[in-house]
Amino acid sequence: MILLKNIYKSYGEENVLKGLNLEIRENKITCIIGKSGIGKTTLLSILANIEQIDSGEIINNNHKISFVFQRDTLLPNTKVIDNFKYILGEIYDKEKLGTLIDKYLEKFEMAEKKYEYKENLSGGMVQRIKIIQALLYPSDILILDEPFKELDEEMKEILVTELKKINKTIIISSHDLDLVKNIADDIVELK
Amino acid sequence: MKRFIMQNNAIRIILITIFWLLIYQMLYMYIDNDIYIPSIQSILKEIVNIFTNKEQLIDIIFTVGRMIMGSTISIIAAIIIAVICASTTYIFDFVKPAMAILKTAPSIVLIIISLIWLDAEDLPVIICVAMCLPIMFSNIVYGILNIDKVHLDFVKVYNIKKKNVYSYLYISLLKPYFISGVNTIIGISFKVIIATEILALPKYGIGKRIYDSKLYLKTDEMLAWTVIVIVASLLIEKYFNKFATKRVKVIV
Repeated sequence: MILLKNIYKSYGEENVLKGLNLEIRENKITCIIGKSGIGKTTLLSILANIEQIDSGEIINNNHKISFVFQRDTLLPNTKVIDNFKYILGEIYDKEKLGTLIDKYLEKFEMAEKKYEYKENLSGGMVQRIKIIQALLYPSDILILDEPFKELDEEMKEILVTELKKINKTIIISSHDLDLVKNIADDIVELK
Repeated sequence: MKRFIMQNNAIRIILITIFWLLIYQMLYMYIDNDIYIPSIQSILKEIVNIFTNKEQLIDIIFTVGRMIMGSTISIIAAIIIAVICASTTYIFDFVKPAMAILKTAPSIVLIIISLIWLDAEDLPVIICVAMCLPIMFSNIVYGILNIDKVHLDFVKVYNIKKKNVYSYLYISLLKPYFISGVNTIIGISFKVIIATEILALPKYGIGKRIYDSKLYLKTDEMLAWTVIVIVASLLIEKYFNKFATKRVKVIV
Protein backbone atom coordinates (compact mmCIF):
# COMPACT_ATOMS: atom_id res chain seq x y z
CA MET A 1 0.00 0.00 0.00
CA ILE A 2 1.23 3.48 -0.81
CA LEU A 3 0.08 6.32 1.41
CA LEU A 4 0.18 9.96 0.41
CA LYS A 5 -0.40 12.38 3.27
CA ASN A 6 -1.13 16.05 2.89
CA ILE A 7 0.80 16.44 -0.38
CA TYR A 8 1.48 19.92 -1.70
CA LYS A 9 3.04 20.59 -5.07
CA SER A 10 3.28 23.83 -7.01
CA TYR A 11 5.01 25.09 -10.14
CA GLY A 12 5.96 28.70 -9.47
CA GLU A 13 2.76 30.52 -8.54
CA GLU A 14 0.51 27.68 -9.60
CA ASN A 15 -0.56 25.32 -6.82
CA VAL A 16 -1.27 21.99 -8.48
CA LEU A 17 -1.77 19.68 -5.52
CA LYS A 18 -3.15 21.19 -2.32
CA GLY A 19 -3.15 18.87 0.67
CA LEU A 20 -3.77 15.65 -1.25
CA ASN A 21 -4.39 12.51 0.81
CA LEU A 22 -4.51 9.19 -0.98
CA GLU A 23 -4.22 5.49 -0.33
CA ILE A 24 -3.21 3.21 -3.19
CA ARG A 25 -3.97 -0.43 -2.55
CA GLU A 26 -1.46 -3.12 -3.44
CA ASN A 27 -2.20 -5.27 -6.51
CA LYS A 28 -5.31 -3.26 -7.32
CA ILE A 29 -6.11 -0.99 -10.22
CA THR A 30 -6.46 2.63 -9.12
CA CYS A 31 -7.82 5.07 -11.68
CA ILE A 32 -7.29 8.80 -11.33
CA ILE A 33 -9.80 11.01 -13.04
CA GLY A 34 -10.30 14.75 -13.16
CA LYS A 35 -10.34 17.74 -15.49
CA SER A 36 -7.37 18.58 -17.69
CA GLY A 37 -4.66 20.46 -15.81
CA ILE A 38 -5.98 19.37 -12.41
CA GLY A 39 -2.71 17.58 -11.57
CA LYS A 40 -3.17 13.96 -12.68
CA THR A 41 0.18 13.82 -14.50
CA THR A 42 1.88 15.63 -11.62
CA LEU A 43 0.53 13.05 -9.18
CA LEU A 44 1.72 10.17 -11.36
CA SER A 45 5.14 11.84 -11.75
CA ILE A 46 5.40 12.15 -7.96
CA LEU A 47 4.54 8.47 -7.57
CA ALA A 48 7.21 7.63 -10.16
CA ASN A 49 9.77 9.78 -8.29
CA ILE A 50 10.20 12.08 -11.30
CA GLU A 51 8.81 15.09 -9.44
CA GLN A 52 9.55 16.02 -5.84
CA ILE A 53 6.81 17.16 -3.49
CA ASP A 54 6.94 20.58 -1.80
CA SER A 55 5.57 19.19 1.47
CA GLY A 56 3.73 16.20 2.84
CA GLU A 57 4.66 12.59 3.24
CA ILE A 58 4.70 9.54 1.00
CA ILE A 59 4.84 6.21 2.77
CA ASN A 60 6.12 3.05 1.10
CA ASN A 61 7.06 4.54 -2.25
CA ASN A 62 10.29 2.69 -2.98
CA HIS A 63 9.17 0.42 -5.75
CA LYS A 64 10.39 -0.50 -9.16
CA ILE A 65 8.14 1.34 -11.57
CA SER A 66 7.20 1.12 -15.20
CA PHE A 67 5.58 4.22 -16.61
CA VAL A 68 3.66 4.90 -19.80
CA PHE A 69 4.25 8.61 -20.28
CA GLN A 70 1.57 10.67 -21.93
CA ARG A 71 4.17 12.17 -24.28
CA ASP A 72 6.09 10.34 -26.97
CA THR A 73 9.10 8.63 -25.40
CA LEU A 74 10.18 6.45 -28.32
CA LEU A 75 13.60 7.19 -29.77
CA PRO A 76 13.59 8.96 -33.13
CA ASN A 77 15.34 7.34 -36.12
CA THR A 78 15.21 4.05 -34.27
CA LYS A 79 13.51 0.75 -35.05
CA VAL A 80 10.75 -0.66 -32.84
CA ILE A 81 12.97 -3.60 -31.85
CA ASP A 82 15.78 -1.23 -30.78
CA ASN A 83 13.32 0.78 -28.68
CA PHE A 84 12.75 -2.43 -26.72
CA LYS A 85 16.46 -3.29 -26.51
CA TYR A 86 17.09 0.25 -25.22
CA ILE A 87 15.29 -0.42 -21.94
CA LEU A 88 15.14 -4.21 -21.75
CA GLY A 89 18.42 -5.29 -23.35
CA GLU A 90 20.22 -5.42 -20.01
CA ILE A 91 17.34 -7.11 -18.18
CA TYR A 92 16.54 -10.20 -20.27
CA ASP A 93 18.86 -12.44 -22.21
CA LYS A 94 18.67 -12.07 -25.97
CA GLU A 95 16.54 -15.15 -26.59
CA LYS A 96 14.00 -14.44 -23.84
CA LEU A 97 13.68 -10.82 -24.87
CA GLY A 98 13.08 -11.85 -28.47
CA THR A 99 10.33 -14.27 -27.41
CA LEU A 100 8.67 -11.69 -25.14
CA ILE A 101 8.76 -8.95 -27.77
CA ASP A 102 7.26 -11.27 -30.39
CA LYS A 103 4.53 -12.41 -28.01
CA TYR A 104 3.47 -8.88 -27.04
CA LEU A 105 3.76 -7.43 -30.53
CA GLU A 106 1.49 -10.23 -31.68
CA LYS A 107 -0.94 -9.53 -28.85
CA PHE A 108 -1.15 -5.84 -29.77
CA GLU A 109 -1.28 -6.57 -33.51
CA MET A 110 2.10 -5.02 -34.21
CA ALA A 111 4.10 -8.11 -35.24
CA GLU A 112 4.80 -6.83 -38.72
CA LYS A 113 6.14 -3.52 -37.34
CA LYS A 114 9.03 -5.05 -35.39
CA TYR A 115 11.71 -3.70 -37.72
CA GLU A 116 9.85 -0.50 -38.64
CA TYR A 117 11.30 2.90 -37.82
CA LYS A 118 9.44 4.98 -35.28
CA GLU A 119 8.77 7.70 -37.86
CA ASN A 120 6.73 5.22 -39.90
CA LEU A 121 4.33 4.45 -37.04
CA SER A 122 0.97 6.10 -36.43
CA GLY A 123 0.13 7.76 -33.09
CA GLY A 124 -1.82 4.67 -32.03
CA MET A 125 1.09 2.38 -32.90
CA VAL A 126 3.54 4.52 -30.93
CA GLN A 127 1.18 4.31 -27.97
CA ARG A 128 1.01 0.52 -28.24
CA ILE A 129 4.83 0.23 -28.30
CA LYS A 130 5.06 2.46 -25.20
CA ILE A 131 2.53 0.24 -23.44
CA ILE A 132 4.37 -2.97 -24.40
CA GLN A 133 7.66 -1.47 -23.11
CA ALA A 134 6.02 -0.82 -19.75
CA LEU A 135 4.35 -4.22 -19.61
CA LEU A 136 7.62 -6.03 -20.33
CA TYR A 137 9.63 -4.07 -17.78
CA PRO A 138 9.80 -6.06 -14.53
CA SER A 139 8.26 -3.65 -12.03
CA ASP A 140 6.19 -3.63 -8.85
CA ILE A 141 3.97 -0.79 -9.96
CA LEU A 142 2.66 0.00 -13.42
CA ILE A 143 1.71 3.64 -14.00
CA LEU A 144 -0.14 4.64 -17.16
CA ASP A 145 -0.80 8.27 -18.02
CA GLU A 146 -3.76 8.47 -20.42
CA PRO A 147 -2.99 5.05 -21.94
CA PHE A 148 -6.22 4.82 -23.96
CA LYS A 149 -5.50 8.02 -25.86
CA GLU A 150 -4.96 7.32 -29.58
CA LEU A 151 -6.09 3.69 -29.22
CA ASP A 152 -9.05 2.40 -31.20
CA GLU A 153 -11.88 0.47 -29.51
CA GLU A 154 -10.36 -2.93 -30.26
CA MET A 155 -6.99 -1.96 -28.81
CA LYS A 156 -8.63 -0.42 -25.74
CA GLU A 157 -10.34 -3.76 -25.19
CA ILE A 158 -7.08 -5.69 -25.58
CA LEU A 159 -5.32 -3.35 -23.12
CA VAL A 160 -8.10 -3.58 -20.54
CA THR A 161 -8.03 -7.39 -20.74
CA GLU A 162 -4.25 -7.38 -20.38
CA LEU A 163 -4.27 -5.01 -17.39
CA LYS A 164 -6.93 -7.07 -15.62
CA LYS A 165 -4.69 -10.13 -15.90
CA ILE A 166 -1.67 -8.45 -14.30
CA ASN A 167 -1.14 -9.07 -10.64
CA LYS A 168 0.55 -5.85 -9.61
CA THR A 169 -0.35 -2.38 -8.45
CA ILE A 170 -1.61 -0.40 -11.42
CA ILE A 171 -2.29 3.34 -11.43
CA ILE A 172 -4.04 4.84 -14.44
CA SER A 173 -5.03 8.38 -15.29
CA SER A 174 -7.78 8.65 -17.86
CA HIS A 175 -10.59 10.78 -19.21
CA ASP A 176 -12.50 7.76 -20.46
CA LEU A 177 -15.07 7.24 -17.70
CA ASP A 178 -16.64 4.12 -19.22
CA LEU A 179 -13.27 2.38 -19.39
CA VAL A 180 -12.38 3.56 -15.90
CA LYS A 181 -15.60 2.10 -14.49
CA ASN A 182 -14.89 -1.16 -16.30
CA ILE A 183 -11.32 -1.57 -15.12
CA ALA A 184 -10.88 0.21 -11.78
CA ASP A 185 -10.87 -1.30 -8.32
CA ASP A 186 -10.57 2.21 -6.89
CA ILE A 187 -11.42 5.52 -8.52
CA VAL A 188 -9.86 8.78 -7.33
CA GLU A 189 -11.24 12.06 -8.59
CA LEU A 190 -8.96 15.07 -8.35
CA LYS A 191 -10.83 18.35 -7.79
CA MET B 1 6.73 9.73 -61.35
CA LYS B 2 10.03 9.56 -59.44
CA ARG B 3 11.95 9.27 -62.71
CA PHE B 4 10.10 12.28 -64.10
CA ILE B 5 10.98 14.38 -61.04
CA MET B 6 14.65 13.33 -61.27
CA GLN B 7 14.78 14.15 -64.99
CA ASN B 8 13.16 17.49 -64.27
CA ASN B 9 15.72 18.16 -61.58
CA ALA B 10 18.62 17.30 -63.89
CA ILE B 11 17.27 19.62 -66.59
CA ARG B 12 16.88 22.40 -64.00
CA ILE B 13 20.51 22.00 -62.83
CA ILE B 14 21.80 22.00 -66.42
CA LEU B 15 19.81 25.14 -67.25
CA ILE B 16 21.05 26.98 -64.14
CA THR B 17 24.65 25.98 -64.93
CA ILE B 18 24.30 27.17 -68.54
CA PHE B 19 22.83 30.46 -67.30
CA TRP B 20 25.80 31.19 -65.01
CA LEU B 21 28.34 30.08 -67.61
CA LEU B 22 26.71 32.48 -70.08
CA ILE B 23 26.94 35.33 -67.57
CA TYR B 24 30.63 34.50 -67.02
CA GLN B 25 31.26 34.34 -70.77
CA MET B 26 29.58 37.74 -71.27
CA LEU B 27 31.74 39.24 -68.52
CA TYR B 28 34.81 37.69 -70.10
CA MET B 29 33.93 39.19 -73.49
CA TYR B 30 33.09 42.57 -71.96
CA ILE B 31 36.31 42.89 -69.89
CA ASP B 32 38.43 41.24 -72.56
CA ASN B 33 41.48 40.73 -70.39
CA ASP B 34 42.66 37.20 -69.49
CA ILE B 35 44.41 38.37 -66.34
CA TYR B 36 41.20 39.73 -64.83
CA ILE B 37 38.81 37.14 -66.22
CA PRO B 38 40.21 34.15 -68.10
CA SER B 39 38.10 32.26 -70.61
CA ILE B 40 36.14 29.14 -69.66
CA GLN B 41 38.22 27.17 -72.18
CA SER B 42 41.52 28.18 -70.54
CA ILE B 43 40.19 27.27 -67.08
CA LEU B 44 39.07 23.85 -68.36
CA LYS B 45 42.49 23.40 -70.01
CA GLU B 46 44.17 24.17 -66.69
CA ILE B 47 41.94 21.65 -64.89
CA VAL B 48 42.98 18.97 -67.40
CA ASN B 49 46.64 20.02 -66.90
CA ILE B 50 46.31 19.67 -63.14
CA PHE B 51 44.83 16.19 -63.38
CA THR B 52 47.50 15.00 -65.80
CA ASN B 53 50.37 16.29 -63.65
CA LYS B 54 51.54 13.90 -60.92
CA GLU B 55 52.97 16.64 -58.68
CA GLN B 56 49.73 18.59 -58.75
CA LEU B 57 47.72 15.50 -57.94
CA ILE B 58 49.90 15.13 -54.83
CA ASP B 59 48.93 18.72 -53.92
CA ILE B 60 45.24 17.77 -54.12
CA ILE B 61 45.81 14.63 -52.04
CA PHE B 62 47.66 16.63 -49.37
CA THR B 63 44.98 19.32 -49.10
CA VAL B 64 42.08 16.86 -49.07
CA GLY B 65 44.00 14.69 -46.58
CA ARG B 66 44.56 17.69 -44.30
CA MET B 67 40.88 18.59 -44.59
CA ILE B 68 39.78 15.07 -43.65
CA MET B 69 42.29 14.88 -40.79
CA GLY B 70 41.40 18.34 -39.43
CA SER B 71 37.65 17.69 -39.63
CA THR B 72 37.95 14.25 -38.04
CA ILE B 73 40.04 15.56 -35.14
CA SER B 74 37.54 18.42 -34.66
CA ILE B 75 34.57 16.04 -34.65
CA ILE B 76 36.12 13.57 -32.18
CA ALA B 77 37.42 16.33 -29.87
CA ALA B 78 34.07 18.18 -30.03
CA ILE B 79 32.12 15.05 -29.07
CA ILE B 80 34.41 14.31 -26.10
CA ILE B 81 34.46 17.91 -24.83
CA ALA B 82 30.70 18.36 -25.38
CA VAL B 83 29.82 15.21 -23.44
CA ILE B 84 32.07 16.30 -20.55
CA CYS B 85 30.66 19.86 -20.60
CA ALA B 86 27.05 18.71 -20.77
CA SER B 87 27.52 16.57 -17.68
CA THR B 88 29.62 19.03 -15.66
CA THR B 89 28.38 22.60 -15.64
CA TYR B 90 31.50 24.19 -14.18
CA ILE B 91 33.73 22.62 -16.86
CA PHE B 92 31.31 24.03 -19.44
CA ASP B 93 31.73 27.47 -17.84
CA PHE B 94 35.52 27.19 -18.36
CA VAL B 95 35.30 25.85 -21.89
CA LYS B 96 32.64 28.33 -23.11
CA PRO B 97 34.93 31.43 -23.32
CA ALA B 98 37.71 29.45 -25.03
CA MET B 99 35.28 28.23 -27.67
CA ALA B 100 33.83 31.74 -28.07
CA ILE B 101 37.33 33.16 -28.66
CA LEU B 102 38.16 30.50 -31.25
CA LYS B 103 34.80 31.05 -32.91
CA THR B 104 35.10 34.82 -33.19
CA ALA B 105 38.87 35.30 -33.63
CA PRO B 106 39.76 36.08 -37.27
CA SER B 107 41.43 32.99 -38.74
CA ILE B 108 44.17 35.14 -40.26
CA VAL B 109 45.27 36.29 -36.78
CA LEU B 110 45.45 32.69 -35.56
CA ILE B 111 47.43 31.69 -38.65
CA ILE B 112 49.96 34.51 -38.26
CA ILE B 113 50.43 33.93 -34.54
CA SER B 114 50.78 30.17 -35.05
CA LEU B 115 53.24 30.68 -37.91
CA ILE B 116 55.74 32.03 -35.40
CA TRP B 117 55.94 28.84 -33.37
CA LEU B 118 54.54 26.02 -35.51
CA ASP B 119 55.83 24.06 -38.48
CA ALA B 120 54.33 25.04 -41.84
CA GLU B 121 53.47 21.40 -42.57
CA ASP B 122 51.36 20.99 -39.40
CA LEU B 123 49.78 24.43 -39.39
CA PRO B 124 46.85 23.87 -41.83
CA VAL B 125 45.47 20.94 -39.79
CA ILE B 126 45.91 22.81 -36.49
CA ILE B 127 44.17 25.94 -37.76
CA CYS B 128 41.42 23.78 -39.27
CA VAL B 129 40.84 22.17 -35.87
CA ALA B 130 40.87 25.58 -34.17
CA MET B 131 38.20 26.88 -36.57
CA CYS B 132 36.00 23.77 -36.82
CA LEU B 133 36.10 22.56 -33.22
CA PRO B 134 33.93 25.37 -31.74
CA ILE B 135 31.30 24.95 -34.47
CA MET B 136 31.06 21.20 -33.95
CA PHE B 137 31.21 21.66 -30.17
CA SER B 138 28.30 24.15 -30.11
CA ASN B 139 26.17 21.87 -32.25
CA ILE B 140 26.73 18.82 -30.08
CA VAL B 141 26.66 20.48 -26.66
CA TYR B 142 23.42 22.33 -27.42
CA GLY B 143 22.02 19.11 -28.86
CA ILE B 144 22.72 17.40 -25.54
CA LEU B 145 21.40 20.32 -23.47
CA ASN B 146 18.24 20.45 -25.60
CA ILE B 147 17.32 16.80 -25.07
CA ASP B 148 13.66 16.79 -24.13
CA LYS B 149 13.15 16.29 -20.38
CA VAL B 150 10.68 13.49 -21.05
CA HIS B 151 13.53 11.34 -22.43
CA LEU B 152 15.62 12.01 -19.31
CA ASP B 153 12.65 11.16 -17.08
CA PHE B 154 12.22 7.96 -19.08
CA VAL B 155 15.89 7.04 -18.46
CA LYS B 156 15.40 7.72 -14.74
CA VAL B 157 12.19 5.74 -14.34
CA TYR B 158 13.43 2.71 -16.26
CA ASN B 159 16.89 2.98 -14.71
CA ILE B 160 18.50 2.65 -18.14
CA LYS B 161 22.22 1.82 -18.11
CA LYS B 162 24.68 4.56 -19.15
CA LYS B 163 25.92 2.36 -21.99
CA ASN B 164 22.42 2.25 -23.48
CA VAL B 165 21.84 5.96 -22.88
CA TYR B 166 24.92 6.73 -24.99
CA SER B 167 24.42 4.12 -27.68
CA TYR B 168 20.68 4.61 -28.16
CA LEU B 169 19.42 7.90 -26.76
CA TYR B 170 22.36 10.15 -27.62
CA ILE B 171 22.92 8.66 -31.08
CA SER B 172 19.28 8.96 -32.11
CA LEU B 173 18.69 12.44 -30.64
CA LEU B 174 22.02 14.05 -31.57
CA LYS B 175 22.19 12.78 -35.13
CA PRO B 176 20.56 15.91 -36.69
CA TYR B 177 22.90 18.23 -34.73
CA PHE B 178 25.89 16.12 -35.76
CA ILE B 179 24.96 16.13 -39.47
CA SER B 180 24.33 19.87 -39.50
CA GLY B 181 27.68 20.51 -37.75
CA VAL B 182 29.65 18.31 -40.16
CA ASN B 183 27.99 19.93 -43.19
CA THR B 184 29.05 23.35 -41.91
CA ILE B 185 32.64 22.37 -41.19
CA ILE B 186 33.25 20.62 -44.53
CA GLY B 187 33.11 23.95 -46.41
CA ILE B 188 34.88 25.91 -43.68
CA SER B 189 37.72 23.41 -43.31
CA PHE B 190 38.62 23.66 -47.02
CA LYS B 191 38.62 27.47 -46.87
CA VAL B 192 40.74 27.54 -43.71
CA ILE B 193 43.23 24.93 -44.90
CA ILE B 194 43.80 26.63 -48.24
CA ALA B 195 44.11 30.07 -46.61
CA THR B 196 46.67 28.61 -44.18
CA GLU B 197 48.55 26.89 -47.00
CA ILE B 198 48.75 30.20 -48.88
CA LEU B 199 50.33 31.88 -45.85
CA ALA B 200 52.41 29.00 -44.46
CA LEU B 201 53.50 27.57 -47.83
CA PRO B 202 53.98 23.92 -46.92
CA LYS B 203 55.78 21.70 -49.47
CA TYR B 204 52.54 20.34 -50.96
CA GLY B 205 49.04 21.75 -51.04
CA ILE B 206 46.48 23.51 -53.23
CA GLY B 207 47.09 26.73 -51.30
CA LYS B 208 50.71 26.78 -52.35
CA ARG B 209 49.66 26.35 -56.00
CA ILE B 210 47.14 29.17 -55.71
CA TYR B 211 49.87 31.37 -54.20
CA ASP B 212 52.18 30.55 -57.14
CA SER B 213 49.49 31.30 -59.71
CA LYS B 214 48.81 34.64 -58.04
CA LEU B 215 52.52 35.40 -58.08
CA TYR B 216 52.75 34.78 -61.83
CA LEU B 217 49.32 36.31 -62.56
CA LYS B 218 48.02 32.98 -63.85
CA THR B 219 44.35 33.66 -63.10
CA ASP B 220 43.13 30.74 -65.19
CA GLU B 221 45.19 28.32 -63.06
CA MET B 222 43.97 29.98 -59.87
CA LEU B 223 40.34 29.59 -60.94
CA ALA B 224 41.00 26.01 -62.04
CA TRP B 225 42.20 25.21 -58.51
CA THR B 226 39.15 27.00 -57.11
CA VAL B 227 36.84 24.86 -59.25
CA ILE B 228 38.62 21.72 -58.02
CA VAL B 229 38.23 22.80 -54.38
CA ILE B 230 34.51 23.56 -54.85
CA VAL B 231 33.87 20.23 -56.57
CA ALA B 232 35.87 18.31 -53.92
CA SER B 233 33.95 20.09 -51.12
CA LEU B 234 30.58 19.35 -52.75
CA LEU B 235 31.50 15.71 -53.37
CA ILE B 236 32.63 15.16 -49.76
CA GLU B 237 29.46 16.87 -48.49
CA LYS B 238 27.27 14.79 -50.81
CA TYR B 239 28.84 11.47 -49.86
CA PHE B 240 28.82 12.34 -46.18
CA ASN B 241 25.10 13.16 -46.31
CA LYS B 242 24.38 9.99 -48.27
CA PHE B 243 26.17 7.99 -45.59
CA ALA B 244 24.80 9.97 -42.62
CA THR B 245 21.16 9.91 -43.67
CA LYS B 246 21.25 6.13 -43.83
CA ARG B 247 19.53 4.90 -40.68
CA VAL B 248 21.92 4.29 -37.84
CA LYS B 249 22.23 0.64 -36.90
CA VAL B 250 22.91 0.55 -33.22
CA ILE B 251 25.48 -2.02 -32.20
CA VAL B 252 25.37 -3.05 -28.57
